[in-house]
Amino acid sequence: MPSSRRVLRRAPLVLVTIPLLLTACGRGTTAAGDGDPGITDDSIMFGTTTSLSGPTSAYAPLPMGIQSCLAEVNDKGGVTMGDGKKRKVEFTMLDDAYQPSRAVQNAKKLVEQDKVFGVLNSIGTAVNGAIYPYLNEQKTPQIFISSGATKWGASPDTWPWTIGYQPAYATETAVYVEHMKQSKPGAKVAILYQNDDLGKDYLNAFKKLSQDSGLQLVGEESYETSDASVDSQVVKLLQGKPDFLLAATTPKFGAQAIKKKADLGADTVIYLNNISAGVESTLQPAGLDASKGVITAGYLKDPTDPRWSGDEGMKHYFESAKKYGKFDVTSVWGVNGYAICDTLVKVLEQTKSPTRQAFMDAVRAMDFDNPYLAPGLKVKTGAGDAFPIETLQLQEFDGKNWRMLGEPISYEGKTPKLS
Amino acid sequence: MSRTGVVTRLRDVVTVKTAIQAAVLLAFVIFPFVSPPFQVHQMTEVIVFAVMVLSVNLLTGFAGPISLGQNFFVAIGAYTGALLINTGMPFAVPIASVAAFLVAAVVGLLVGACALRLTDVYLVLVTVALGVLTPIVIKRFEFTGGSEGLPVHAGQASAPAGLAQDQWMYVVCLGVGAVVFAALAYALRRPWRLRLTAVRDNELAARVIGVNAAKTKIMAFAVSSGMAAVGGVLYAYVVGLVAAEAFTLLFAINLVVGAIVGGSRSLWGAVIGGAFIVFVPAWTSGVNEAMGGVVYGVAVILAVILLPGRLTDIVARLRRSTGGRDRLPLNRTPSQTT
Repeated sequence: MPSSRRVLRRAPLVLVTIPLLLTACGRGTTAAGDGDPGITDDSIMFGTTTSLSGPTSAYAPLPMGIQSCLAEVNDKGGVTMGDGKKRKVEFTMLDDAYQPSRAVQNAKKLVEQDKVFGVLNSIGTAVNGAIYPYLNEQKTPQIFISSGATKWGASPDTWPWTIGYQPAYATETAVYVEHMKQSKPGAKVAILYQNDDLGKDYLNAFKKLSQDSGLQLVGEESYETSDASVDSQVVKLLQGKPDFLLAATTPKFGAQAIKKKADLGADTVIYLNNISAGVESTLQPAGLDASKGVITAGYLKDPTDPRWSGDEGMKHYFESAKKYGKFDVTSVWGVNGYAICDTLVKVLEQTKSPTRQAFMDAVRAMDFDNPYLAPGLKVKTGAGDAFPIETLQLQEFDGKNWRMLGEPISYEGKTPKLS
Repeated sequence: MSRTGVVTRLRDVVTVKTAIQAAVLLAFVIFPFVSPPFQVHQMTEVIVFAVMVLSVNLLTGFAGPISLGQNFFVAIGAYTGALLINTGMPFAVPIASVAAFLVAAVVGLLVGACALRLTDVYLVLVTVALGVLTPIVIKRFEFTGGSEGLPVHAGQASAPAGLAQDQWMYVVCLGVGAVVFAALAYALRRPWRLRLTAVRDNELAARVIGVNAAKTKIMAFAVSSGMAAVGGVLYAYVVGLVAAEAFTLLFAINLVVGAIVGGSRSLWGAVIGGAFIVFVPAWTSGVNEAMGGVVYGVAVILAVILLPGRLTDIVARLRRSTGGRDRLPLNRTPSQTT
């Protein structure tokens, strides 16, 4: 120790020399080369920082779906972009394990070392929240984020390089409120929500949207993801004899709520939020009989749903994912990846010149069909509309499959007003 | 002083150990000016995690108790840092570091006074509870930004002329980190270090010879908590967002892994631990996209199995075997130390 103390005594002296070194070695700003990074005459490069491991690794099929879909695109020669040149689309995935610190590191690596053209679909509100100031400062497109928070589309003027993809949770809530209003005016509603941004987005949107709707909020209970069960919350909520129960949950807790409600024999109708609406992940554990009559709103085609067995888009998905993919093709997140890839390819076809600005211009003026989205849904943006998907399809569970309920409900261009 | 006297004196000061340490320190200072921004950022994160690992080293390596609740104190620091930095005050990072140290040390004192009555596995369980509760508690409050997290505006204009943002962040973190390291090195001089070691090795015996074991452990816990909070301030500054999801139990476990891999009874070991936390997961996820987590787990197991004496010990052994004239502890013969 004595010797190291001597060094440490000298440490201030060494540190004082820093200012000298600054002037001597200051890096200065590097001059930008000609053209934007990550694009050549025959290739364009995207990267992502995403959840390949860690607490949200269940979403891993999403980036892997994008990767698999792009592998197919490249196999067929690439994308003919708006400037007439055919380019292959490269895609680099970096794992952040849902840790913001690793996401920042990854974003810097992608931009500065790998020199990507843009960052495509990172997963999670916290991860994207950590990297979006940096990416906007670097004028690097950060597109098709997987997070239902409204902030990704709320202020495109302040954050011109960032855009989401899926419908905001608020939009989904609006669809439920609309349906509740129509099926029973003046109904009593209770809400079970996960105590985080996910659950609270539903809760807050519901409170706002139901204000003049005649709907009556008779109970709200929250739970933590670390809770063992939501049974006591459900019992408490059902004591208010609500007509409808909105479950803003994740799959495990959605299943518990459905099961408990059935055990209690209540005739309350459950509105289950989209991310919990998997047949295998939620309804089977809850019991298919118990799940009869549950309502949800979706935007993707569910790969486990036999309804789509003859569907061209889904047939192509299964073929392609089995050939090029390394993930569980029955995961709805894989379909999500293909949907995002399809939109990306269409944007590239509309990109008039090989610059990031031209690319973002195309992103801000999308109007595309998508073979992986529920019928009738569009990917659409425009002036004052920075939310790609704003339409949802209501569905009811018939004990075996989801059955479509009426026409898709659209809030095209209206999302900011909902939350 | 005669000429030979000066030479002897120099030889005495410039041992292999000090030479290496000086070189490492110098490398740290020069690094940001010769490296690309991305690597500078990575090294800044290494410094940030090194400070946190150092707090684990003090508690677990020197004092003994194992804590898996260090994420709690890091979070205290991170939110203190975020709130103070966002006020836009000058010298926000050093001021926040001092504030966070004091707040966390007081909280650590209270927690330690309660928890350290327990021993061994019970103490670990209490700290696990603390670690698990941290993200849940954060989400309950509004000022923390809920689970969306709190953005930290480090201020793009804060870097002085001639310095890029990443270089300035590095310099600030290196400065704060160096103060923490130096302060701990100073505190770990003879009396306290011996007391800690005595309590760690045999608490009963320590008490018999008059060491106040409870006080010693609680002090170590409080100081360690404060240091973790300083790491939290730097984390908020460097990452630019503090969110509940970041400070899970896994965060605390990673710090302990870093401490074990780097060598928990060493100051420089904390730097190795910090580097492990930053570089190894990034490296393992590059090996195989789908199996990053598994490869990381294997890397940790391998590091612990293959380097049972800790990385810093290997350095010490190498030095001895190459005949470095490092002083050996007075009461030990060379054969006893290996």
